[in-house]
Amino acid sequence: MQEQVLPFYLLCDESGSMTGLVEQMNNELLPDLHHSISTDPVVADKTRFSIVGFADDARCILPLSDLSDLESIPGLVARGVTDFGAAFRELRTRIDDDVTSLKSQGHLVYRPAVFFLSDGQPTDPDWRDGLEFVTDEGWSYRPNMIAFGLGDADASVIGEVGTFKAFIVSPNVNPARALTEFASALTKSIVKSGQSSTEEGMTLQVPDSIPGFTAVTADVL
Amino acid sequence: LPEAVVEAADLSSQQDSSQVWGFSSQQQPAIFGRPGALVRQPWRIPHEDTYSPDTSLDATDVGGLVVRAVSLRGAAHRYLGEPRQDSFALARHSDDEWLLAAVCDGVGSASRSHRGAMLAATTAVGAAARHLEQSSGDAAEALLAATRESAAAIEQEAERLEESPRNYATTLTLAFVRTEPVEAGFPYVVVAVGDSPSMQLGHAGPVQELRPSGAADLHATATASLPTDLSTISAIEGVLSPGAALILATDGFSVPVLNTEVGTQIADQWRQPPGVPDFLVQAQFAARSFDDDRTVVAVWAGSDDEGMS
Repeated sequence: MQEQVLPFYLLCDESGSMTGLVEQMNNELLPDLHHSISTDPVVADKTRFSIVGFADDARCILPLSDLSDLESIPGLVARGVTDFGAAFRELRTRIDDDVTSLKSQGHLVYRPAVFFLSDGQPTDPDWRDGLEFVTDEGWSYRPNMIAFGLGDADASVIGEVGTFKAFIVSPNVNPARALTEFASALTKSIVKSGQSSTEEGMTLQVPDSIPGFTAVTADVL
Repeated sequence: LPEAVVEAADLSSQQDSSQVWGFSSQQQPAIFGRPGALVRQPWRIPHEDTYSPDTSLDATDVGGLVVRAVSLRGAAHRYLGEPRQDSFALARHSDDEWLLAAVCDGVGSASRSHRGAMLAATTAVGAAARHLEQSSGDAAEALLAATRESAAAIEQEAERLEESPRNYATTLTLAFVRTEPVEAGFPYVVVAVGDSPSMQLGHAGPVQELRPSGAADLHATATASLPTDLSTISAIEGVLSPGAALILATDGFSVPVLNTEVGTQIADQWRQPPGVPDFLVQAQFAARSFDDDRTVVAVWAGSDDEGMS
């Protein structure tokens, strides 16, 4: 039987500088997200979640899954540098495969939402080539990208990545708190989007302001 | 207490339920695919200042038409304890010459769209009936005028409560159907703002969406809503063949019916008008992720050879 599916991807920096944050993510924030989504029947019935990690390269940590089917979700591992281009290329491959597979089963698939998180500058000089790969207007599965910058991340770079919305950590905000707010925004977005039903079907819901972060507006670009 | 149970059992065994108008059989809602988590959840009533029931159900025979109508909360609003944002309304001519039906889908993001949908549906059929009773004018003109009056009524209500009219945003699909055939069948007119579709079910084949005859841009109509955006009003005029059904619905019903195997079952079940409780149960099919409110008004054109007159 066909279902309506709203896919969410976490595209997360696993570079060496993320070590403390990766631990917090694995031990606290991802289990909380898993619990919140899998125990909300409205949301569990129509959202799917995937994690792609990137550092020296990019890899799929959690294939696109129904969180209510999982006992636990695998964690991130801090390692290496910050290859944005590899992240975007892997993301495009994953989305192409996932959406094609879901559609071949007859499902009604809504435009994917990607939550991108990095604490640094891209280390690959040609990262914009990778970004064009996932913002390509000719690609019908092009996702809505919501980008978050922590630590050394550059507001203008985050603004370029966040085609839907972009947020940079506010000055003097503790990184652990910022990460908690990021995870909370991600969970709320999945819940609110899963609960939304409009004339166009489900629509992606992301708040305009997130505590600890400053929205990056087009003016900054 | 045991005596009362015996008495009730005896009573039911003595009655043939098919002898009661509208009742023919009993069944459970069908579950399509894997059930999902939501179907098992209890309903919660809304904590609204103005109560509105989970389900609104109606049925009638008027002239040569057989009508079944239901509006029910989807699984999401039932679980979350939120009001039904869909609504329908019906009206008939004082001499039963025509039937009017309105179906409204309150826009999910608009905070008072459940009130908007209710107001739009009742105002639209009332205004259209008045226009048609007072003049023998064109049905399409009457429906268009009623659509505009419906929008005006919402704006007045918003003003009275000092709310933004956009908080009441709703679709409106308004239909006029003649109750007696004219040559090939029963003429009808449907006007619509927004994307609550009109469909048709014939003697064979699937439920099919009716497309506006004008060059309306379907993407544009998807965003139109009362009361503030009447920029795109689509119109369909047609003739309902004897035995066929005209189906007005909100997308909570039409999306699964037009896109999934639910449609095959509904087509089989509704080839003939079902009994009223059956109609309710059949509209309550459970299908994971299809948790939006559902409203459907189905109008069957009777034919003598099928005993529906």
